[in-house]
Amino acid sequence: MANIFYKTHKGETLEIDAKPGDSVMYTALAKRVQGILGECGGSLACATCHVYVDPEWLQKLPPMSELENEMLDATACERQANSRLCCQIEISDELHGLTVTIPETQL
Amino acid sequence: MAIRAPHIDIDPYDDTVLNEPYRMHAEVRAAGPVVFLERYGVYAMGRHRDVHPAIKDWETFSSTGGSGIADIRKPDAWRPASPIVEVDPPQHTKVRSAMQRILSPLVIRGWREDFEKEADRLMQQLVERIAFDGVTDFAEEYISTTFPAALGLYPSPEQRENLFLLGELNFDGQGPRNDRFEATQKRADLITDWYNASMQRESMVPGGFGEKIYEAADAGVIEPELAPLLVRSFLRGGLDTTSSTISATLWYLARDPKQFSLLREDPARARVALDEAMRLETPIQTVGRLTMRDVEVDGTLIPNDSKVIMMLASANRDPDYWDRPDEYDMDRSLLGHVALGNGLHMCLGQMIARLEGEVLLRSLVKHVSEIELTGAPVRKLNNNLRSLKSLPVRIKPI
Repeated sequence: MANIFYKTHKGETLEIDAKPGDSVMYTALAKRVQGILGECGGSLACATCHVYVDPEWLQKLPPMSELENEMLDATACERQANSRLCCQIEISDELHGLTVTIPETQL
Repeated sequence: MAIRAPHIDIDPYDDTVLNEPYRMHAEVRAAGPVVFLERYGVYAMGRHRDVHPAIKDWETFSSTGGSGIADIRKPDAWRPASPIVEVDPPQHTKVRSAMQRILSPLVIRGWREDFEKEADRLMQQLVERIAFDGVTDFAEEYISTTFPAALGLYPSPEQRENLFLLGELNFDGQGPRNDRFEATQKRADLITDWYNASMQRESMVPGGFGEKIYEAADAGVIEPELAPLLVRSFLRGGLDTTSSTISATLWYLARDPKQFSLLREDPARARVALDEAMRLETPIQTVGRLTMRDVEVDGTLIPNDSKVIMMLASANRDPDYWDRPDEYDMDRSLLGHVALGNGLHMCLGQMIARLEGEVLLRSLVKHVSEIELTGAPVRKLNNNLRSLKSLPVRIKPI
């Protein structure tokens, strides 16, 4: 198991038990975490699973593909240096404790 | 040791089955993970647990044999493959990325205001009328205005009728060469010139995304000969599917005032209201795949080089996956519905469809407090597209 912390834009933090192999987006949807939509199911077509990753975790994440990089220019809330699409973050034991902040809107 | 798929004698394209396909779906799911449809010589899968991963596994279940029941590589059914729907990586990756850039969420979000104006204009008309048809006056009317404008087609009087006919032909063509297909083909033959002209560069209004497809060809991002074929994909696939989702949503909301109240309470539910209708209706009922090797699906063997019909509509109501599968509930978790596919072939135009539907539903709840069915909805039968022909409703304006 790996625990993922989802912070809402209101400052609330949810701790979720996640299954290694699932994505951070899938886990949020399966556990009904509000604010992550993941409308395209992870096919990099919607940019509705945007999160801000706590900086200490950035280097530990899988690298960003060119398409994810481009899709991040199309997010509803402003892109920042720690922005990622969380459908592209596969959970592993090494990510136990990963903390992401959900933006105010995805649309 | 893998077992052979049970042979079953059902015709998914029979009028009775097309009207009410649910019993057939249950029969397919009950028979096994995979069945063999004797009549057509193809395999079919209908259980969510099998369909959901299979349509994502392009290396095993390839799209290169065509999106329908026929194997388009074989001489008797040969036709050129769609350069995006009927190819796999690496070719697919290049075209899909180019299209994804053109249809970026940023671009699509930019259409919201125009779509809103059109939705409000339409709703203002409909609240005057009180009684109208939820298909022709609402869903189709809205889509035939917004979608060709976004694509950037010059408006013409015959455009609406012709575009819906192209959609009908496209989806009838995914089934067998039956009487239904032949009749649609005959009607479509009469508009061949219009059809061919509509995908050419001269037909694209500057600023629409059709023009941008041609610009991508200019820039060398895609092969020049692909541009008209990609425009064609949108002409054929962009209208009926969205319109079917919207009319189905209106139907479910009319049938269930509690669900309509949920949407009125919080119009931000519009997108899940559409998604749930998509699950239940599944406008594109099936997708075809071709096996690239001998494959075992939950212990049942499908030999290499076999056509497999993935019954998306069946997976979307599979009681082993969904709680109360036949019930419309916009508050349920929709994770795993396959109406738009799964994986790299997932519907490219979905963000356009979602925006169109969301904006129209938001306008609906702004203008309407009650919806009532005034007659039985009538189905429009097609080999692969599930939609309504008419949906008589009466509304109470706010």
